[in-house]
Amino acid sequence: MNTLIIILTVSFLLLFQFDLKAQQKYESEYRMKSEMIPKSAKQFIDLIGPDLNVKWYKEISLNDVSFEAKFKHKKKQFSVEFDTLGILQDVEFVIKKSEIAPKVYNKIKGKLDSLYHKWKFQKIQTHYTGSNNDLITSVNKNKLSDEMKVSYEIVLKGKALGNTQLYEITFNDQGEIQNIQQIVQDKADHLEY
Amino acid sequence: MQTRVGLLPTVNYNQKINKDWDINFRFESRHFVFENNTPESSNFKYDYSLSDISALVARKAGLNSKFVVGVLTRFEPDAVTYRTIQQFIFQTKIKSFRLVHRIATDQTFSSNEATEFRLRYRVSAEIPLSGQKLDVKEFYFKFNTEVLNGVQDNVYDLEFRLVPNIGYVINEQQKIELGLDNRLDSFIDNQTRLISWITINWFL
Repeated sequence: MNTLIIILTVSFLLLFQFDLKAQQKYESEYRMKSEMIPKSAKQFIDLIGPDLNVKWYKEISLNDVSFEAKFKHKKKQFSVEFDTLGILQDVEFVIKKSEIAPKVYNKIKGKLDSLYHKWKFQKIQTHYTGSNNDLITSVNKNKLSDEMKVSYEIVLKGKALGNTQLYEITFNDQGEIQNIQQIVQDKADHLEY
Repeated sequence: MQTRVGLLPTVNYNQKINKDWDINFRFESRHFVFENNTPESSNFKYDYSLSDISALVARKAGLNSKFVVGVLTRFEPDAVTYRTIQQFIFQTKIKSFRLVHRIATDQTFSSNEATEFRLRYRVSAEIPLSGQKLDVKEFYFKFNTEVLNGVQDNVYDLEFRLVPNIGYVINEQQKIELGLDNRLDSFIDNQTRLISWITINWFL
């Protein structure tokens, strides 16, 4: 009986925690011509590589507006975010799960196992924040400075309480959850019917 | 080859009931404006063809898939026919393109013709024309291609459809599209027929 009470209590707490943290992610994005982008943002990208084929986007979420540069560099898909004044926010690029340190990956996996009955990665990105120089060095020479902050942004399909949804979860470099957002999928009735 | 051209306006209303169920109502009508029956004769001539009303119910099967069942009533000048519909729809993605696959069977019942049975497969591709995902007040390109196998009175027929569309997202609920629905059928008995419908689709 005591065991059953403990199990029910822990399950209720996990449910409560999950429900509190899974905010919904709303984001829209628009392609932008490079002439509309702040000069400082374009200069930063030129320091990474002057001949990059960059596509610029304006991203609007519930609380924020930003510019994003997307490009392929050294066989990696990069996304560099700036605020509306062209001040660098972060650099992110797509990685495979094997590129996460085993100790950190095991912690992430354990956390996901506790949240979801079943889950599957859709995309993993490494997130770097830091000074402009540190970020350029990390991108071009794959060297991280101690002042830089590293996190992992994971998009996954997760099944909990019989319901499968798409989530974006941010983990810090120790594998601890920072944020969970449920991704609201676009309507597809014009494709389905 | 016989060629006919017409107008095909549609109105689609989709309503989410809860997280697992949604319903779709659709009204469509067809109006011929041109036909080219023989090399010697081609006519611009208006000819009302038919109107369809359908109601479909969908149940979510997975994150990006659903089972759909429904009925359609077809009103023609001299007949009313009924169709039962079963579909399985699922979504995949290639880079920024959404692909929706639809596998369907339907059965058409008429008082003056044998029942027709069809097996269909359609793939619809959406390409946003501004950004990597579709947002309000943006244009998109949509391309459908479908193959339809039909049997009626032990006679088999095959139909292909190619449908390019240009669409616009008016708001969170509504989209409007302009397209050309090209239908090529009657291959098997060598009486190939092309019907091209100028489509205007309103989704709400």
